Amino acid sequence: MIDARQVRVTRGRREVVHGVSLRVGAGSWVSVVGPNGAGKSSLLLALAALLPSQGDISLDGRPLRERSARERARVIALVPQQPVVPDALTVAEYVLLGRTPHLSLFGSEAGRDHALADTVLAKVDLAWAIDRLVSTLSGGEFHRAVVGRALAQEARVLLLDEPTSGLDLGHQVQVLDLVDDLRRSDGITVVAAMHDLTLAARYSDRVALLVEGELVAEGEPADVLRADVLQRHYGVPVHVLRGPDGELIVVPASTEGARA
Amino acid sequence: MKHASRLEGTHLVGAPARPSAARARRRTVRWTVIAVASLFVAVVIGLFAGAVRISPVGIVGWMFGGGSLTEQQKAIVAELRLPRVVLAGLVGAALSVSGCAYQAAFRNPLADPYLLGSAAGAGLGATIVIVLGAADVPLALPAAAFLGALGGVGLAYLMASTRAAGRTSTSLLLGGVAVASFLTALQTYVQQRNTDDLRAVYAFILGRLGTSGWHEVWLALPWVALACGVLLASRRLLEVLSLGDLEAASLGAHVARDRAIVVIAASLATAAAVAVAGLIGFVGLIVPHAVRMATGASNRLVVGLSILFGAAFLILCDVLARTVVAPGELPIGVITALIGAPFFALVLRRSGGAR
Repeated sequence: MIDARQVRVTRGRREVVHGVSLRVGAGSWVSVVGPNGAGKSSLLLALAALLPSQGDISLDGRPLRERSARERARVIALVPQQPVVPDALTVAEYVLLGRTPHLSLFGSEAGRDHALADTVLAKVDLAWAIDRLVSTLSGGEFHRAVVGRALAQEARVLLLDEPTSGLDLGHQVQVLDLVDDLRRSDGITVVAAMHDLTLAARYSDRVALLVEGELVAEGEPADVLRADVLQRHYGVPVHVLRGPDGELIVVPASTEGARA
Repeated sequence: MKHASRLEGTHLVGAPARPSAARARRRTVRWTVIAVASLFVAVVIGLFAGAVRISPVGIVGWMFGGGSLTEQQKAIVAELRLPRVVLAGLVGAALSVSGCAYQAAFRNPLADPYLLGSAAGAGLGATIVIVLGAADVPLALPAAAFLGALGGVGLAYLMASTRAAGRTSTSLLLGGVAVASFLTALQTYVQQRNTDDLRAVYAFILGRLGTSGWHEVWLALPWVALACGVLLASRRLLEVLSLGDLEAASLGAHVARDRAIVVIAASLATAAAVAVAGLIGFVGLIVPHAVRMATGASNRLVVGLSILFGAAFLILCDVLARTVVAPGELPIGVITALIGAPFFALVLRRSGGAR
């Protein structure tokens, strides 16, 4: 359980997150949505203590700042928005980097770490690519490798910073399905900053709408992703529809009438 | 916690070794054998090359405790050629491994060991000693170069830490550039005020192994050995740092401290090399890249191979330096630059295309 209270984040001289409070239940998926510049990534990085912040953030009742960096990385893993693609690392070596918080400063991986990496690679469906250079993977494969690296941390919280940016529709669903399967099977808690509201509605238990650094709405997807709320904060008219299975679909409405 | 137990429950401790791990081990062994063999050949060539002809077979025999060398030949090999070969090897290893470490720690393919102002600091220190007429005082020149090199890096760190951004790799790089420019300007000023010493100053700046003996070897050896040991132990750390500050921190790395460990070790090796051999350029740039291109391997293998191939490379460059215009001698920095400049252009082209 993540409990963030009155979190403030300052980047440069500008406060970009203004006193946000958020509770994320164990094993749930919370998506943080909002227009560009809303502070989604900043909030996510603050939740991992990767950005300095004010306020209280605790995990399972224990303040995050009481934990060392290594200790934090054993419980919270980040899938960054634009992960660095290393030149010469194989997929196996890349996933093994996830073992860093479990090793000493000059330590190297032992048999258990390699075995765990094998298990993770099978989970993210990259066992076939074990010897491939990470730099030769496709966008979707690379995202799965990044998720694999995060899983190798054995963290129980996964922070996804716009995990589908730059991916086509098929790869977006592939990556999010993978995370969702892992959440259901392994009980991982997911907090994801997302732009695509339809995908956020599809995967999340709860949605937090952040606008200009303030939390303006938080709740179940159907309660937050309402046409009037979205139009007010995104500045464009939207339709919120129901798909054949009752799923929420958020699409921009025609603005011709408004322009006229 | 549920997921952790699930992962553990399926782990495969005791399972047969993965084929990929076996392949990686085979590659490591293969390249290590090639590197050791290259170093051995370079040492034999280094001991063979010189005005007095000595049979390479005799040299190899002597290296293994036997052979047919005369006492005079043994003295030439052991007292004149061997220390120079060993020193060239030490300096080559130090510069190569430092370059490799800097390139990974700063995620910059064009980084070399002199990146943070160590060359400018060493140049200033050496120039001051030379113009003061103290170059012949034992230890004065190497000590001034050593301290100047470390001082340059220290200043770069100081400058970076005064920025609000803290010690990020970018602020350190900017600090290094500023410090290098400042110290080079000071060195040029001191040099221009004392034009009588120009030749001696340039001899240092172009690098030299000509006056070397066992004395210089013992001066450099402890620092180079220490730095190589630390950097070899940091191979995995370099991979973590090469992911950038944010991702490294998300993996639990203490980025500023870990980068400082790498930079201090690399700077010690560089300072030791500069102290005994002057400023030899391009070694730290071309050897790690050549190793990367040839092996396609990560830093886990490249660090160790850079030490071995760097030693072999500089020994062979020194052979060229003392044979191309024999009985005269070219500054070794000229040889490395002649090879390095075109290579630098190639790296620039490749890295420009990649980004």
